Amino acid sequence: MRGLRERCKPRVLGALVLGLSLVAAACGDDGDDGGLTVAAANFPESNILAQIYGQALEAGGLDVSVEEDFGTRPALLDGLEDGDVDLTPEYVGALLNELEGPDTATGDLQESVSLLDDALADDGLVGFDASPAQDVDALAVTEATATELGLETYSDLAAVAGDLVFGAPAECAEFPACIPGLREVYGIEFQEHVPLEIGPPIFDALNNGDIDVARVFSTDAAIAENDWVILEDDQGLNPVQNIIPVGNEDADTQEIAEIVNDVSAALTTEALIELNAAVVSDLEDPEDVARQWLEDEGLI
Amino acid sequence: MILANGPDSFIWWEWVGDHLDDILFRLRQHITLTVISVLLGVVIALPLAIVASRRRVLYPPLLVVGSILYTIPSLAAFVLLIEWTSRRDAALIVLTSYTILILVRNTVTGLDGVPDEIKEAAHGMGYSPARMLVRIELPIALPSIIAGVRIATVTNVGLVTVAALIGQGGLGALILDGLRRDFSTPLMVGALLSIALAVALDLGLLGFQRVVSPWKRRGSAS
Amino acid sequence: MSFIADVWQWVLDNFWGNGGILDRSIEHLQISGASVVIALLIALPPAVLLGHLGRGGTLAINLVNIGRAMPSFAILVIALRVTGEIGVVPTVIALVALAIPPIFTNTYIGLRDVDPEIREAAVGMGMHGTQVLRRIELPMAMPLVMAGVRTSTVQVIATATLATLIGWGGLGYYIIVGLRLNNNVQAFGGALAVVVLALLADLALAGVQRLIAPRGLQLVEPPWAVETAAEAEEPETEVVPAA
Repeated sequence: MRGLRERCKPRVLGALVLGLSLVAAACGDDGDDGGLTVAAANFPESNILAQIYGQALEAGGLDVSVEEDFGTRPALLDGLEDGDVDLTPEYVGALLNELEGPDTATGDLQESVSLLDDALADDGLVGFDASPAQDVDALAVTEATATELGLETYSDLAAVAGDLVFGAPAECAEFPACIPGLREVYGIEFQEHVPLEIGPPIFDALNNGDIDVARVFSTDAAIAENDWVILEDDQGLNPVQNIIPVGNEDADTQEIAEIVNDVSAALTTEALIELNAAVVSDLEDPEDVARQWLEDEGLI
Repeated sequence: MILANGPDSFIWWEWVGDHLDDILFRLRQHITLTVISVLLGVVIALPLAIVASRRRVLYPPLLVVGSILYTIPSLAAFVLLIEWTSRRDAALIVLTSYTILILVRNTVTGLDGVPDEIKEAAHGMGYSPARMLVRIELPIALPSIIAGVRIATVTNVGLVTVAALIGQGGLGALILDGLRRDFSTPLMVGALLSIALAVALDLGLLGFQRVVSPWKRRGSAS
Repeated sequence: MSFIADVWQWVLDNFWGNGGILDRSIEHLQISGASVVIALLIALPPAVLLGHLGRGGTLAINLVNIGRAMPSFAILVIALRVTGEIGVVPTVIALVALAIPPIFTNTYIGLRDVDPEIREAAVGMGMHGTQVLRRIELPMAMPLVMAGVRTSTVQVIATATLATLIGWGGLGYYIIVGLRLNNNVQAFGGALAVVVLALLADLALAGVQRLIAPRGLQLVEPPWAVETAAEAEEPETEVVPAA
């Protein structure tokens, strides 16, 4: 047994040390090094926006690191609270509904922003100025469907919805501004709701004819790519979804606010659509697309 | 395929080359979560298994609880936990507990495999129970323990991908990017790397197992 | 404890009716069952053949490794893109891909590890290849095969939750909607329903296993233990005579 002990003991120890140092090295990355971390939710538009705000702050002389695809909204909120994240781009309506319950946000920007500011303050967070740029929840139909049924607005849908299949994420069934709201405000009752994620699943289904009406985001690159028609929310059911950067106390300085607010003011919905198309359709990197836009706008 | 390599290819090599940093960052995140959960699992499972192998009454209930817990789907387990803890801890708890279940069973099996004659001989040589455990029983059980670590590691590499889909980074983030942009390159890179990582870690541990227990080679063991 | 009470109340409120828990559980079981059956049809013939011949061990081990490390969600979406369909078809494809490795590997190992002495005795008694397979190897491998089926079934039931993202219902609905709308009671309730369903399916299969296992051959270890046999490369076969 002596031979065995001598042979394996140092190796076992060595491996343990190696394993632990791997962990230690990897853990070291998560530490807060005094710089500002701008993090994005895990979808392209959020990555682009995080790059835009992050690069603008960097150009303003701050020590910034941008982390794309940080995670879902709750993960980002956790990150803001424990300091892993200092700043993240958000949407007025979506964030307010996340914090205060799914029917809090309205179509009124000022009202929603002031409710959001209160909710953020309760969590020790701060919202900067809301941008005029919006990415709202929208309903899309193919050009053929729109022409055939004469669809332009949500109200036009009410009469024909009984024959139409609606593709939307599962939560739409219970989300106040989705199926329940369409029913109450517009009297729209679809023949069926097929649960589908926004993105390739829903886009394919709409083009295949598996669904007739698709829930999309108004800045999705796929809309222009496929010549889909976005129906007008003529009774104002959908809450406002203006871009709003949100930070924790580390980001709550005059210097940061000035830079971030300048960027938000320059950002438009049209710009957002183009930036998305560059990343999603042309497969460019959010980092490059963001830098180009900031240069074009003279912000860096 | 090489000539026509571009954005629509299965894997667009130029993109991979340009994004090596991102890919390595995700790979490291993935390894970190896997390694931490397996190490935590080892630290918790070993004492449990040693106690269970001494007090046999404890082992059957442990196995029953273990097999029930193992039936719980990982996504469901994760959801069950986030009511009480942060998402990151929930992911870590789920990964670690699967590791514990596999390791306890393998360690007990390994300890049971120590021949009585050897134990008696050691006892006769005046070994205390603690000394016997460290110097004789654990080294003999090592192949079985490492076999458990291998299974746990490979399983966790796959599970981390799921955890990543709920916002924990790792190679799952690459897969998500591919899904969102309808871009096969990151999707394939993420999926293939997670498979390659599983195979690599498994082979590494197999090599380790052969080094620390050279007397137990395939074919010569039985 | 009020959270648990809320979950219980949620279960009571949502159990019956169209699109209720019972409805969705049945839907969930149907697609899971169909997937496991298709996986059996695909995996058994090659696994039995290779196990009988004692070839392809590396393939078996690697298949189970790849199966473990394969992100199911990626398979789900690849199936969606490749077939161009939503709902049942891509879901079943992904679940079948998930179910094959454990069934294949356990069947292979089960047949390969039949005691050579028993096999020789059978040949000595004048049995030829197919008879050895049918009368000796398959019955002896059955506990491991069933363990593979149980592992696959549990994984399939767990993964079918993701199909709510690509146009199919089932219990995943509650989890996804609950998570998205911050309704932890609903998410918890849905997860609980999946766990109960997985446990019930596992128990039912354990019952089947007991019925079809030859007397004297009983598997005493839980299914997660059995996978060890495939990996450990140690011939400690998990089939032990019942006391």
